[in-house]
Amino acid sequence: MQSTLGIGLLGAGPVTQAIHLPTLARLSDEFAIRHVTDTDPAVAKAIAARVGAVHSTSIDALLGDPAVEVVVICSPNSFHAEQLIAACHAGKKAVLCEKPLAMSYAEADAIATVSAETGVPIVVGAMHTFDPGWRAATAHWGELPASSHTIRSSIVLPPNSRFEDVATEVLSRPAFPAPDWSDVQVLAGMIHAGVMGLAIHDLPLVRSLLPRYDDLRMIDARFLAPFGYRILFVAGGKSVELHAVMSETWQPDWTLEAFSDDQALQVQFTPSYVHAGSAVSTLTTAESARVFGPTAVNGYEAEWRELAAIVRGEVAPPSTHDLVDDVRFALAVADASAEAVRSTHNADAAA
Amino acid sequence: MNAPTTHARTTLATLPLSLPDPTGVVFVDGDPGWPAELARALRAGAAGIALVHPAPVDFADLLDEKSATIVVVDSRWASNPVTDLAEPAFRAAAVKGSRLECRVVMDPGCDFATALLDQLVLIRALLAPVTKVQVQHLSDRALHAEGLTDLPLAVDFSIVSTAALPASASLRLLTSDGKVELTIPSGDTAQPARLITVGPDGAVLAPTQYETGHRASLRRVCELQATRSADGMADLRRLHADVVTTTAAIGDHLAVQAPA
Repeated sequence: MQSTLGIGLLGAGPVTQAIHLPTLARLSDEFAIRHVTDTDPAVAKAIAARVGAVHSTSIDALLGDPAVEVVVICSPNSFHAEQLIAACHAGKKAVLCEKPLAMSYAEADAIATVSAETGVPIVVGAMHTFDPGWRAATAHWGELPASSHTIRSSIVLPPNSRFEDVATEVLSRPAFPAPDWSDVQVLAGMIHAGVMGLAIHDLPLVRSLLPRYDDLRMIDARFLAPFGYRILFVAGGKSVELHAVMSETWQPDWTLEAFSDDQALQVQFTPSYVHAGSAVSTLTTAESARVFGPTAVNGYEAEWRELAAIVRGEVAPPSTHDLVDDVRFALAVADASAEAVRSTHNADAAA
Repeated sequence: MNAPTTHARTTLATLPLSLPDPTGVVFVDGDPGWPAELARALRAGAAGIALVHPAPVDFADLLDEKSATIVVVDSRWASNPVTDLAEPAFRAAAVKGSRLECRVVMDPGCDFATALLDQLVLIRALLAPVTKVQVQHLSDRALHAEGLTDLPLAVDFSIVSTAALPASASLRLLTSDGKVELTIPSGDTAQPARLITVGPDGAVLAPTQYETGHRASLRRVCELQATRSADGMADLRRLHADVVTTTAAIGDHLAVQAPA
């Protein structure tokens, strides 16, 4: 009989409450939450009490807790790299870092260095990369990564709260800011946030279809109020369209598509937060269509199960080089999108 | 007069009572030489002409023809009978500042200019004429473009070539609390289009109509002939405006891309 792995959660906001706690409740044979840290002591205490864990307000307390074997980083994006590096130096068995892994190239470099130094396995909580529907498609897609020429990710979502509120009962939800849409710097910042916060779910999948991205050429990028974007770029000889809109619709529609001359892939993902099963992938040729999924296991559960297998040494951890490359790609798209928004605004102003 | 094509014969066979004398209608194939063929049919006194899937070529001279002939443009997507239901749905959903997505899948080797023209004709039928198009990316496999209408409404166009999927056109207009989405299969079969309207109360699938675009076009010829007072050249004038927009868009893009 195996013992459970002790989990320490850094950050106890909606992602921890609505995603990780319900997922870990499904996997109580594998994991037990031992420590919850949040800068808000009331939130830390309340969330820890839900799972019978200790609580604190400092990362040092969590990293110094011997009951914590795996650190989960669910803090705001700007703290991810610093906390991940600290967790690796603390000699934990593994670190699960919510996406994005980092917010700058320098942070990405530092993560690559610490990974090489410490050997601590790093997993990024990009649940779509673990989704059984996606994984099954990649196992059967043959030459599609090389032959695809057009890629599109389109995300239409109701407000997150609609799903958070059925995944759990959220304590302390941050308010959505009221931006000044007339300020181009705000718009540039919003599209950057859109890439690093929303498009980031599918960018590792997109990158797996690109032979390279160092030649990325941004064609058009615009922020779509109240929150969304349309981004069009060319990389590795392929055109890539990223589209997202968040509205008051009740109907989510999260689709990734790739086309080659003789094959088409469509992946329809279930919305975030809820456990609604895996994506459904369809690989189509002129002669047939093969459908993968849905399975009962979604990306969150698959991500945690893989983490457990990594800690036990049953499967190899993901290549940190690949994870760092994923975030470099995301940063390249985000930076180029923000710059395109500024350039378009300046050109319009000059006209 | 050209020999009836297969789709002309099969379409005529679906309207035996409306068109007891099938020689009264001429089908003109929309290959690039179509203006000359159409001019011949007009001067021969055809009662009705169906111009099938026209390519974007200059035909300004044709608009000066004095003819009582009814000319109907049998466009790849716009001729689908779903347009009668889709037009009010899209018009009701469109507001100032909306963005319409218009995506087309075509066979490899398709002519992107013709595919773009077909999209413009469709959007004109459903919402409004597209008055300007800027091609953002054009390769031998895909085209991306942005268009504007006077509503004002922006249109994101894409054309993707693949043999993996049958040709189709998809339009999606996202609203603040739902969407209108239309998928039109190739007009060569009677596979129905799907029109879905999503709002706060749920999703509604419009009744499906198993009629080919060719038959719907031919039915329009008959209906316009029956009115006797119809402007038989109206379709051609609208097509001309869309051809001008299409060729300008492609031409502008190629001029920018050409080496100095």
